[in-house]
Amino acid sequence: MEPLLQFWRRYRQNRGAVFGLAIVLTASAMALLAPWLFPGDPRRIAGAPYIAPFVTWQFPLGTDQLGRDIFVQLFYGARVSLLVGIAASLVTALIGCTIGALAGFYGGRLGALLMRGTEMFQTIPDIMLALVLVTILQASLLSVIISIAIVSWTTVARVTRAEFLKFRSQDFVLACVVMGMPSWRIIVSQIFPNVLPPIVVMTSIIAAGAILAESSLSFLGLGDPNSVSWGMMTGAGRSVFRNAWYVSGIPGLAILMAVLGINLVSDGLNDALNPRRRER
Amino acid sequence: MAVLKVEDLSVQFRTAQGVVRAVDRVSFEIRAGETLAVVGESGSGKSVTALAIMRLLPRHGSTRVSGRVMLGERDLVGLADAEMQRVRGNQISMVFQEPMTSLNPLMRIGEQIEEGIRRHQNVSAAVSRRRAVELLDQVRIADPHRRVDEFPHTLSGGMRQRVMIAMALACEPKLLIADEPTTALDVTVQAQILELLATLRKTMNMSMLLITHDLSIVADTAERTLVMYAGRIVEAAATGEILARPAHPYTRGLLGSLPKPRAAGRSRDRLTEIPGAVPPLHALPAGCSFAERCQRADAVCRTDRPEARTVTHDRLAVCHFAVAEAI
Amino acid sequence: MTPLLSVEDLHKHFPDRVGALRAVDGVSFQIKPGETLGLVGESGCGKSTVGRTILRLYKPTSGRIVLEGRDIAPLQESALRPLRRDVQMVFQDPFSSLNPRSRIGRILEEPFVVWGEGRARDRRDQVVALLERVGLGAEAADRYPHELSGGQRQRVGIARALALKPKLIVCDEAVSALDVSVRAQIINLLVDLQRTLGIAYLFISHDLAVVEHVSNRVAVMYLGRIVEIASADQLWSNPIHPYTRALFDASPKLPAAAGQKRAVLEGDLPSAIDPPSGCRFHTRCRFATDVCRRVEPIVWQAAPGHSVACHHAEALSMAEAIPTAQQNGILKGSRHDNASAL
Repeated sequence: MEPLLQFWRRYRQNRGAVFGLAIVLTASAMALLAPWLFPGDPRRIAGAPYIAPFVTWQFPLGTDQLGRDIFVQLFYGARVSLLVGIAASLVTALIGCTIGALAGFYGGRLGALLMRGTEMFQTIPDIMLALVLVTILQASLLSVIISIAIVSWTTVARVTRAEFLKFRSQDFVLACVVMGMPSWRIIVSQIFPNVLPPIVVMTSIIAAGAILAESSLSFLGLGDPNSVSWGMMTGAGRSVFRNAWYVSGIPGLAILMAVLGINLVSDGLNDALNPRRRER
Repeated sequence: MAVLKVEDLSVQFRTAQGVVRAVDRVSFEIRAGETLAVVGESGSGKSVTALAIMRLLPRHGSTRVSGRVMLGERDLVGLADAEMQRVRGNQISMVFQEPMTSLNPLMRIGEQIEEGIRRHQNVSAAVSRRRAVELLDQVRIADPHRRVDEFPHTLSGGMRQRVMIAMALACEPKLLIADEPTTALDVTVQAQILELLATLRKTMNMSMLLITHDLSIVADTAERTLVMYAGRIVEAAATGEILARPAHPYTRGLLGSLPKPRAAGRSRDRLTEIPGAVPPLHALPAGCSFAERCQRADAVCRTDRPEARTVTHDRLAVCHFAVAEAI
Repeated sequence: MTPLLSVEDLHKHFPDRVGALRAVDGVSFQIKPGETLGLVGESGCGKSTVGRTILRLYKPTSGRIVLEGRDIAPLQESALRPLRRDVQMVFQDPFSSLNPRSRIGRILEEPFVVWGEGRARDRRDQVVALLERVGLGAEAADRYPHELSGGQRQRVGIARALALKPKLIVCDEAVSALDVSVRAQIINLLVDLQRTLGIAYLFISHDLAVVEHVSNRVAVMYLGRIVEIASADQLWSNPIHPYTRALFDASPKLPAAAGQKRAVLEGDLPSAIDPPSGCRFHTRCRFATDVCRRVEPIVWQAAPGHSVACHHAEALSMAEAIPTAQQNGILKGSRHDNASAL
């Protein structure tokens, strides 16, 4: 409990990070509570089209061109955005850490091979690759998550490798080799905990990127057609933007806030996980 | 005649743990032409003292320097920055521990030496270059005409330290502060550098403040020695006196903990240990800061901070029992 | 007594863009059970590489490392692992040698976990016993490394090395990073542990005074080779190799020998990528003659257990003090005997 408290004490020194955390917690609450607060299909037609926000209590954020409740859709959209953000960043971290750790720890020919592969992936433009992948894999949440992970693991791999290279030759790691500790144990139990802070920070940034990427794909109509997402809402409203800005503007604002919130949180994590850097 | 007089110098840093008294009411003087050694372990305040004299401490609100550093009639502590820059590298120069990082890797050696010359003296490029070659020759770098145009990475650690010394000497300072000048070097190179410094000091009639953790190098380098512990001076005397008849228990402990040559065939003795470790500087005990580790410590040592006592002429020890025990 | 460790013609070359860095280039020595062999030399002489190659942190380029009758030089990591408990290491830097994210108790428990020894509670007792053995209290087990002082951390490093009851501990500059007042504590601890546990040490250091204090025998290295090896008594009473003498002259002594002029060694260490021909020390040696530049010196036995790799060893061993110019002339005359002996 004590280290957690200390962590929180360091974290809350960064005001922006506390604000970011509030945004993220709000979005999470929206995602979790959506089915209880608004049971039924969020995309059913609930009233007249083009009701502006803040006009009636029934539709606090108004309705879109088909008369669907924007407020309700926003809650359901949070589910998709957060799910994609969390799942894609976790898959990304898993792939990136594994490849980076192997390349950094073993080095030599295996390391060189893995890093050439990583560089190859980096030369392909992200969004292009994601578009191609989603098209091939059919539009579904899973394929969106996989596509995002495949285009973003390279950064994690490079950072992890650099960190592993740094720790590989440190005396405490050599001491473990000398005592006969198997390599996998050294990687997992000795080096990894030291490498974790930058990876946590990076993973949170990737989560923000994943939310953006999902929105872009949905905006282009390549998202999961069976679920509401903020990107899809923004995309659907773009044709009526001149008359009813709020149809795409409000979900757009939600994307902005979520990405900002996560970035602020990762900033705070960075400070709190690297106490020495802060004191300087 | 004193070249530099330090009076009641204190340096405090405010940190998350509390106020760190890195240097605590330190007073000493450096006489013309002499080498004064300041000996201490890490955290003793010896390097901070040097940086405070040179006004090279980080200038945050969290650093507080008080006391006086008199260079002739001028007090360096209150000097304007522009004035101080004219003193630095001109009247007082400094050589640092790490010769590998003290030189700019992208500048030729000659350029780096000339820079200092031209900052303080209004001379032509040709003159400053001739002076740079001269200086390299003076610090016994072979083939100075060629070396002057080389980059630092072509030099070994010992050679770089020679270049650093050449830079420090460029304007013939009255005082050279050498902060652990040989700690990063091998013993054979250390011997070369110490000898070089001693020779240059004599020929240039310069004073030197030698800061070191190594008691064994002060023996043939310094006329007088100060011993610092936890930010305070604990003993000051002629070097020979300190080494032969240390008056402070800490100095005695330090000397005792050095391995001594053993008589052939005899089994090795245990070294004399100083128990414990240096107390944290933000939580120094009320009395003598060495009391915790001192075998001689009494009740009075834990409550009263000892004042400097004159043991014999020109010889101080900051210990309640110094006078009683010396000689 | 049979040696615990016998190193025979060990080479370790590191590939480099322009060739191979010959960090260790033909080194042989033995360590008997329970004794301390000091290994001295300046930075870049290869002493640390010797230590790390013996620990098989590096794969030797050639040569044999015979540990209790078994050559471990060619072994793969899997075959090596069971033998690892016999040789442990104490590092120079008490900061980087402990995992900053592990508590001390966990760090000391690790060896037992790796070797599957004892149950959790027994291991806890063993950790406490180890801490007490190195002069730390049981409460240290709950601390993180950064909460300890440098000296305390070095004690933890020693405790970790002791955990597996090794027969040999390689101490690589184990006291060099410590403050003077703490250094004596750690040296005494190492000596005491050797007396009670009978561990052998390979004590690598640049500090001659410390090496003399702890070692039974001492080997002097220069540029990848051992130039002189003898008992500590022999070496300090009768150093023969010009490099050994230069090293002794250069190291500061207390009390200072009044009026004694030091013979300062000129120049810098040559590159280990392209070492000088013949005797590697000839570029800096005051006694170097033509043969030194051409022919590698063979090892000469000055006394039982005292060997020197120098063409002029015999003449130098008879010259009491540092020879004057005249004696130097005698030295030059004597080279023919040595040269023809080759």
